[in-house]
Amino acid sequence: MTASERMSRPSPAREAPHRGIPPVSGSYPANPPQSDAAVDEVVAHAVRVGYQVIGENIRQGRAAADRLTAGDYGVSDVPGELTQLGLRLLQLTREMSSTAFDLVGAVFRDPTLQNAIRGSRSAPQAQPEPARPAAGGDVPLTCNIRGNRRAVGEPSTLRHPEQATSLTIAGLISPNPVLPPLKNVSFSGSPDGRGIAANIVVPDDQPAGTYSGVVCDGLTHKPLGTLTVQVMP
Amino acid sequence: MTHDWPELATRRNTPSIVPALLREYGEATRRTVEYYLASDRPAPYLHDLLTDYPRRGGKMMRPCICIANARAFGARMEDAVHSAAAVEILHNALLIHDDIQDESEVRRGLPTLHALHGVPLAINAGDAMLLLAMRPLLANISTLGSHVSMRIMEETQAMARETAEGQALELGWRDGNRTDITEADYLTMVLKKTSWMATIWPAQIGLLIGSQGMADPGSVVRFGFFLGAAFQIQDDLLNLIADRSYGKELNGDLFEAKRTLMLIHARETCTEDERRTLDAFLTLQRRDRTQDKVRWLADLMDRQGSVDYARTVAGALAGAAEHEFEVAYGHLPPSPDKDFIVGLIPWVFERT
Repeated sequence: MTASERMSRPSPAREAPHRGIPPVSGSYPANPPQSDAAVDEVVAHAVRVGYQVIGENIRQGRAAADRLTAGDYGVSDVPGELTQLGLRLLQLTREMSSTAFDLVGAVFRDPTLQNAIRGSRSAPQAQPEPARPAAGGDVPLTCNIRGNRRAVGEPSTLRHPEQATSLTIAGLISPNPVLPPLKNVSFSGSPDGRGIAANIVVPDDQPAGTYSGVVCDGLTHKPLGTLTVQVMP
Repeated sequence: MTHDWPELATRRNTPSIVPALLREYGEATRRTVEYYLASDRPAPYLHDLLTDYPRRGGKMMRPCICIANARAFGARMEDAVHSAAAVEILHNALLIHDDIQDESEVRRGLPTLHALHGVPLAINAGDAMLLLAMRPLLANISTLGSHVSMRIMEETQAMARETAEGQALELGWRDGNRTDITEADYLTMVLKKTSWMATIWPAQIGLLIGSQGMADPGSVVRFGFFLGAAFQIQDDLLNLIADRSYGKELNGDLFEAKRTLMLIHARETCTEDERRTLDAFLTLQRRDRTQDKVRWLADLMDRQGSVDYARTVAGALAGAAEHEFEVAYGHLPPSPDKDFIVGLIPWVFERT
């Protein structure tokens, strides 16, 4: 930026420093300003009170941030006058752990899932971009069984992918090679927002038995975990 | 009564980039708001209420601050337009609830939502919009990544707390008939109730998007506070002096006994007799505050120079906003969006 482009504040109208700035306790001149000096006094007072107010708010914010970091901040700290808005957003944010956010973000990059989430409409101007690498750690994997057959999925966990990716699985296979595999398996964010849900369609004629498969990173093809379902007789 | 104001932002003309980007970014935001408020199935007694306030227009200052900040920090408009839509939807949701709490009758030139449909349905629509505003913020996960999205949610939570506290202050002062409110109290309420949601939060979201989460959202708080405070005082002034194009009830703030800077100043500077009359006025229910009584209060403010006083304070805070703009944005390269952001300071005083 050149010197001519710089913004500069106008020269003050006063010719000498002010010595009589009113206190910031909230009182101000009893009469409205009528001269340049009186106007300057009001201006100085207003700006001073403004900085005092914002300074105090920032101090309180830092104290709250310190408490948040210490982990002792809860709904009980919220003043009683707060409207439902604050409470709802607090609850919503609490339910979204950063781990879930990272993994759901990775899953949402799957174009098939994105289309499913958006339904028949496409979001205006949404342009997916490369995401940050996700943090490490395991993520809960739950099963969502669809169909008329009774089946139970075994809860497990997935390793965090190294970067934003989609999840793949070749199918769920029985140790008994004569039994057909379960091929209709897809992934989505779990309804509680805390991990991944595997959506498994069990055909009506699927033989009873235990079926397992390896969940892989769609980009690197590295295994992230195992999915197991038991189809009841 | 008139006097010379200091040479502050109030004297400058609004640069042409301000109305131009308000139109461009505002239109993009409106389209996105429509998308997120659309319903896949019939929603009687709800859908029309959700889209009522957004379709009435509005200046779109808040979402445009979001997009302009994002672009000034290096993002594209499409990176920020979903968040801008969330800003606008949340703003309209709170307008619905504010109008009910204030018993307001006119919004953007038409009857308020609760006046048209009743309080229960209006509250329901406001509730729905509060939660629907989360949709575009969640959509950020797929476009901005989880880190930036999470940071935006954190700032949204902080804004929600500040805004609710500010609204509680204003309602509490009025319901408790507090007459000992100082200028510092007033500015604290304005910071929380107005600045945080109108200017600070949208700027913070844009900053996070543009910097991909690397910049400190705290760096725009002071600028946002002073801009928002000047905006609110000017809004209060317009309520007293504007014509019908203003879009709200003329003197509505006086009927509601809102603790404005003019009211605080008038009460501080009037005679003992006048103060007794004023305090009696403040204790009345809204329906008992007649036109004659409101006219008396408006005259008192005029006699005491309270309107000029508030104008001067607003100009002073605008000057502080200019200073803080340089602190927060001075390091960024020149751009139309940067010009827009600083151009909002004189624009605040030119809007009607």
